Amino acid sequence: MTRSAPGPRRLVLASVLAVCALLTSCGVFGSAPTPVPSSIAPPDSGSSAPATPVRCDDATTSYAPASLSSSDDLPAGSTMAKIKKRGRLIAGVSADSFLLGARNPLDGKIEGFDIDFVKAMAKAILGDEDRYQLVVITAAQRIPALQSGQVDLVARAMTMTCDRWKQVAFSSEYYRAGQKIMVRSGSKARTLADLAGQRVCAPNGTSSMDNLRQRQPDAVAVGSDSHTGCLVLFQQGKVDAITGDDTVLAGLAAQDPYAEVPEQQAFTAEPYGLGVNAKNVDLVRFVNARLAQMRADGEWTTIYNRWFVGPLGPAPSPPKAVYGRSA
Amino acid sequence: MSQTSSATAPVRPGPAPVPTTPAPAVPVPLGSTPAEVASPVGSTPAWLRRLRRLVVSTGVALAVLGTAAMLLLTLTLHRGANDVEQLLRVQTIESDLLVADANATNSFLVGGLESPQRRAAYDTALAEVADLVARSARAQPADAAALSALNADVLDYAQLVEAARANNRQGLPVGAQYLREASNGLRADALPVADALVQANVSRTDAALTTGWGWAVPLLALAALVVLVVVQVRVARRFRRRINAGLLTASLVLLVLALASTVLMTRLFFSTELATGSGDVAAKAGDARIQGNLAKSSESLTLIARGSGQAYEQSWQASAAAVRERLTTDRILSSSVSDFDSYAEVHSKIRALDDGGSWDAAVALAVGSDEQSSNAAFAGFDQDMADLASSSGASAVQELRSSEPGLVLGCLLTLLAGLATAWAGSRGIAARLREYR
Repeated sequence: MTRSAPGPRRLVLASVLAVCALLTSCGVFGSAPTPVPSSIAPPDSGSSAPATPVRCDDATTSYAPASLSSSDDLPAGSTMAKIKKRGRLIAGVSADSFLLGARNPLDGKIEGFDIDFVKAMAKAILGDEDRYQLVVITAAQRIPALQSGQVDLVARAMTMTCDRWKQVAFSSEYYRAGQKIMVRSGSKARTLADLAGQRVCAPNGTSSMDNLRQRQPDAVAVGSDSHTGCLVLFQQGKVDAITGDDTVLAGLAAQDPYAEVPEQQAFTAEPYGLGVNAKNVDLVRFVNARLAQMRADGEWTTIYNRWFVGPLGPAPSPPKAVYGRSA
Repeated sequence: MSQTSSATAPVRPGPAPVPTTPAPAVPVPLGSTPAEVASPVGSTPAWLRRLRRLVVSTGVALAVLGTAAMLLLTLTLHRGANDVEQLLRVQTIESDLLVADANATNSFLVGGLESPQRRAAYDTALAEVADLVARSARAQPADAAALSALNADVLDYAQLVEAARANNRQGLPVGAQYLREASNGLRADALPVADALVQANVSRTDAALTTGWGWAVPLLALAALVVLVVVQVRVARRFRRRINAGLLTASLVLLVLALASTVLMTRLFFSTELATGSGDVAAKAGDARIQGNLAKSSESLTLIARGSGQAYEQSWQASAAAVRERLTTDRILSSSVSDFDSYAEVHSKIRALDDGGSWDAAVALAVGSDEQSSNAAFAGFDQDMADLASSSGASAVQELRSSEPGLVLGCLLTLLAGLATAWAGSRGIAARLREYR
């Protein structure tokens, strides 16, 4: 019986053990470490397969221009009349493509070659070149913004392609750009062919990206949301080169003294058109009439020289408009 | 033990009774001989010694277990106060990061020349983050890994904002991109870590703010009291003396301990509830401030995105709903709903202006500092939440810290009461044992 009764020593031992177990279980001697969430992996830019190019020879063919009516005499019920009634032209533009469409940090205004065409259209429709509203969109948002009716017009270095003609309409060609590469100064690469095995950046959802994947499959394609995003990656040493239209690259090189666009033949032709909703053929015809006027009266050359005379040299003759598409 | 005592106690009083009948040498065996009959003289002292061992064990067990429980409670509540302080620190880190971002994005809207006030607010917020990260890592080693990850993210963020500034001052649009990368990086990398820190400390605080361990003391005292009373009854029956001074003293000590610890625990329970309530208000105010600043920085980003900021406006709406949810579920915080509403009103004006094509007017309303501006309307709410979080947090910590001296005293008294029980009980039984010398 004495044996079965718990002696003080045993009781003490049991208590000490129990207390030790409790202390550790309730974490008085330390807490479980705070979990560190792993950062979200960037979306895989290389997942989308390059679009199969649709071969056609009328990518630059637009609708024949209407006769240019004055802003006070717009056809009733037309898209232009609706814009006039609203009081402003809404245009989708870039705010970070230096020289084409970029926000000037000093006054907060978005300005550039593309913006000047928006102003010209605002003047034609509303009689005042300042009656426009800019919606900043990424390259990938251009077609959805037009289709949803969020914007009347896209003036954002948009290449006219047969694929895109299936989704939206374009004005006649207002600029002929070509795709080139930009590298760090001191790099030996001169052409796209030299970039095998290097990391090359282009914005997602652009023809620049498609061309890069098709013409240089050996390069590591890195996507970004814009060309300026590519410039940040370039300056951080995360990519070795950027590819894009010569106009865009000129704007990037102007912001970085250590970036260089080598002397090279453009490996594509990129005809720029102003994007319009496919249904608004009347607006396309109206815009084409205004563009024809600008080509003829020298306004096109003035705009070109205002933005590109420094980096790209004096204005060439404006691209010839091609008409003949039937609605 | 029970078998021995219950069988003998009534039959065998202290002085051995004279047998009434002249018994034959050999008693009539009715079965086996009872144990106490087999060794009639040695049984009582042995029985008393066993009782003494029981009483001493009970006292020592009470001293050890009761003190341990009390100590555990003291440590737990001490940790609880530390956890509340840490929670306040990590919440302040998160809201400071967002204050910094709200100021950086807001001053970017103005253009290359940022306002000295916004710049100063950004610098102050980041300096406080650096200070708090260092202090939090020292205070809670379990947070160290997360804080070091956060530190790396904050360095990245600050570096990108500086790059944005440098480019902005030269009029280069790539500055805007650096700022976007900074804000996106903050949201994608730093905020999840800060959220995890807040979450971990909320659960630590919840777990620590409990008086559970302390209730073991009154329960143990009562159990020991029951043992002592039973022992006393047995001893009294066998020795025909009602009172044993030693055992009675021990029982009284236990009774006092049981009563005193119950009173102490009840008071502690209410004070801990109070601290939990204050801590809760502090946590909610801190959280409302975080969500509010997230909304404020989304407002600027919506304007910077200029027409395609729908995602940021959705983020504003989500944050605003979260702020309202925090504010309305608490009585103290609900008085600040009107402050937030007046900011939300300015925000709707900004959205209406921007959606109506008057981006410049919207920006003017968003970046100004005059009374009508978004910044002024928001500052009131932000200050309210910061004050509420720090004052409620401080009163929770104060409440918990103020009970610490009492708890330490409680530890000592429990120890003494246990030992006193063992000593007095042992003395009481020893007095009976002496009668057999």
